[in-house]
Amino acid sequence: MNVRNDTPFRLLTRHFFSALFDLGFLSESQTSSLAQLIAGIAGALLASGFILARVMMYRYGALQDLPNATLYQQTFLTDHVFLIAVPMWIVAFVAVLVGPSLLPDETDFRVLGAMPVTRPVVFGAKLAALVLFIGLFVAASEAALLPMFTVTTISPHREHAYFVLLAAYLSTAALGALFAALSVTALQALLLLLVPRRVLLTVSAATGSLMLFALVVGVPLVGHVPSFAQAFESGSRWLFLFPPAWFVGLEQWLAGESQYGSLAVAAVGGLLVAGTTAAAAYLVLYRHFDRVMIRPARGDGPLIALRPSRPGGVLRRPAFTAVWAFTWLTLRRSALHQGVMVAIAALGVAVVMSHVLDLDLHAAFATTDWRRRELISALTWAPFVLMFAIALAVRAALLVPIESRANWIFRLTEQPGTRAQQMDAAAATMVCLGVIAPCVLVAPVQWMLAGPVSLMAAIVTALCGMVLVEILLLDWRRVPFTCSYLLGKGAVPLTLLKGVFSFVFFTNVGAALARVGRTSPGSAGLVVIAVLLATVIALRRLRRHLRTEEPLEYEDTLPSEMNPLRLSPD
Amino acid sequence: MLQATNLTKRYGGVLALERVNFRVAPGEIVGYLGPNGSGKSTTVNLVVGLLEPSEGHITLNGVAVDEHPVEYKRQVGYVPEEPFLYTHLTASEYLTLVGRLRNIRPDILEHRIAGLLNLLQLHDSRYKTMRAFSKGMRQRVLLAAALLHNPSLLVLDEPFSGLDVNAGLLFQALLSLLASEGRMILFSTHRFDMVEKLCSRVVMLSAGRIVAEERVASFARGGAQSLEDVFVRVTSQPDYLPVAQQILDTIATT
Repeated sequence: MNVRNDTPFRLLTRHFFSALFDLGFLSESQTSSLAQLIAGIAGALLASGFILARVMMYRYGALQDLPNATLYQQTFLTDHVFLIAVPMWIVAFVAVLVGPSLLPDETDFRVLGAMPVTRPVVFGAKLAALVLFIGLFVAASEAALLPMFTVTTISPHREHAYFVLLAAYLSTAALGALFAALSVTALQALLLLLVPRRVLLTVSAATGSLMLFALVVGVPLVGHVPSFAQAFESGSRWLFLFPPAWFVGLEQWLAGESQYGSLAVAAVGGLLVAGTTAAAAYLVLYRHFDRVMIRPARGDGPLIALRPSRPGGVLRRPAFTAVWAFTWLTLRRSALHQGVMVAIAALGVAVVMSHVLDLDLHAAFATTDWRRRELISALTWAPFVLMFAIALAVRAALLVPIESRANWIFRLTEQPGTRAQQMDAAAATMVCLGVIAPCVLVAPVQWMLAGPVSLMAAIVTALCGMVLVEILLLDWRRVPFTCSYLLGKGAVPLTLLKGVFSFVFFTNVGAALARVGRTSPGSAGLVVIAVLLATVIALRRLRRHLRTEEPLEYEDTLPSEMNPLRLSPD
Repeated sequence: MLQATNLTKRYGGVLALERVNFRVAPGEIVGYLGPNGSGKSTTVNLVVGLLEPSEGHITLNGVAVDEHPVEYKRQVGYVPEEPFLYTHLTASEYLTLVGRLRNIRPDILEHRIAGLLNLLQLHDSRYKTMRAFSKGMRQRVLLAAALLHNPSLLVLDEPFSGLDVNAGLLFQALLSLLASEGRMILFSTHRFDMVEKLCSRVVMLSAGRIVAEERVASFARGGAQSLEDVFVRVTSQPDYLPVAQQILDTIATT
């Protein structure tokens, strides 16, 4: 073994830095494949940066020929909101993902507390690792965006020297990303310090999920803001609610545009508040390191706990109840599982919001013309998008193991007679979250717009959702969270292609069937319902039959066909 | 009666266990001893039904694990060597999960969980997630989970690990009582003192083979000083003093 004579600070910094890439459920080899995946994503981002720059070149080329600079300046400002928001978004997203690791945690306290290293070394190394980690993403995103930035500055209408603009952009984009990281750190620290121990894990997981949700859903919302350029020009107040606008203001102010002073002050103020809060929390933790111990006070308990029985009841399906309760408790308490679920589900919400925001909602509610029909059509389609995204999100969350070596209790108690019950619990969870929730969410608005016939559409929608759940679980052979997980088993492009095709097929065919239910609630609607119901029952029977026949999986395996392209001479 | 016949286990080309035969009669506590890597944990995993033998059979009260795994496992309680638990659950939630998986009637389950948590001094912590539990507390939860369905065979893999003195004494008394009521106990451990105190018979394993099987009392009659001496002799362990000296020399190197 090669033992290097590193200082404890450098060793710990390296340790904390690697730990930030450890998702906790992957084996060592899987962690390295995750690193490859991250490298691949970084490469793709860089490539897309060049492609976007190429697209922007046409626009800025056309702007060069205009006689005055107004349109160029408006486009420049709008594009710089994008150029500064992207690093901020990426860093905020990554910071939320690694959430609890932003601060020294219980493991650090237990393990490093017993080591001959001082507290300043531990905290300093943690901070250094964080700076490196955040810096890596800032540098990668700025590098990817640099060609685009350069394109925005190639114009005879440009008012400042290129290098002045470049310095202003690079520094403000970095400060914006720092603000994002500090805000997430400050929030995590405040939770750790202020929330009672007994609910800390639940609150922390919920907050992380909420932040992920807001970040994903926020993307299409920003795309629908009418015009940043006009808002900057008129000094609109809403810009103060949108942090990337602060940093665009700071960038312009640094370049010499004094009218953006108030936004620049907001940026510096935001940075100071987030930085001071994070620093203060670090300081409190530094002085009271034992606060990271998640040991609840005596007699306290979780808000909601699994109780042994229902009053006077004999459980008809105990294996179902066991797995059902286990699934919900895990989803409620595990930040990782919530995060996976919420991040994927939020994509569906974002698609729906983006589509609905394109419509003239005021006119649609006020009149009975085509705008109303367009909205009804959008709201018929929306639950299918939500169901598709949420069902996939729940499936992905159930795939991620928790404490995989504790699965021996399921292996020890596995019985052919109750396997189907255990799988039913997974299906029921997917139906609750992925079918009932979206339908219930959209149903009142559908009722308001289309009246009682929307009930038929809702039934068709729910049945389509149940068909989707049954199809997604047809080859499912695992108790949720108990099977190890191998990353990247399938070819990524093929998986994406299948996903896009399934999405288009399910949302369009499903929406068409729901439309039949709404427009022909009589015989045609009933036939659709009968066919869907029969499909659900048949698929459910098939799934239950397959599960009774085959044992459950506790170790994920690679596909049996290892060389589908037949490249090997054998 | 637990009967293991010609148990052999191969991991790929590696032979972990070779033609192992032993039995545990009702009312008997059998100590299962062996150095690290001798095949103890493999045997335990085979006996509880977590692994399938490459060759050989295991039967419990006439039920073969390979033919009727569900009926077999219904009779087995297991305390694993490492406290692998779902630590995001509370002790009460974990025991409820286990009870439901074992299909225990809810009213009986509730009664047993309350009783076991109380008697194993976990009642005050019953609503805390086990993430905050010490190793000893987790070990007690595992014992409660193993006893929840009142098994006829209890398989214990290093059950005293992490327990404090009081809990250790309680465990000893409990194991003796369980045996006196006719339960079979297979007790895999490195603790000779516990084997001498608790076990009626001992099976010693080395390199995947049984090298000694005898009543604990008969070791003393054979002239050996202690079980430990017999173990060192039959498992061909090295003379420790020179090794200890070498360790001291290594750490003293400047």
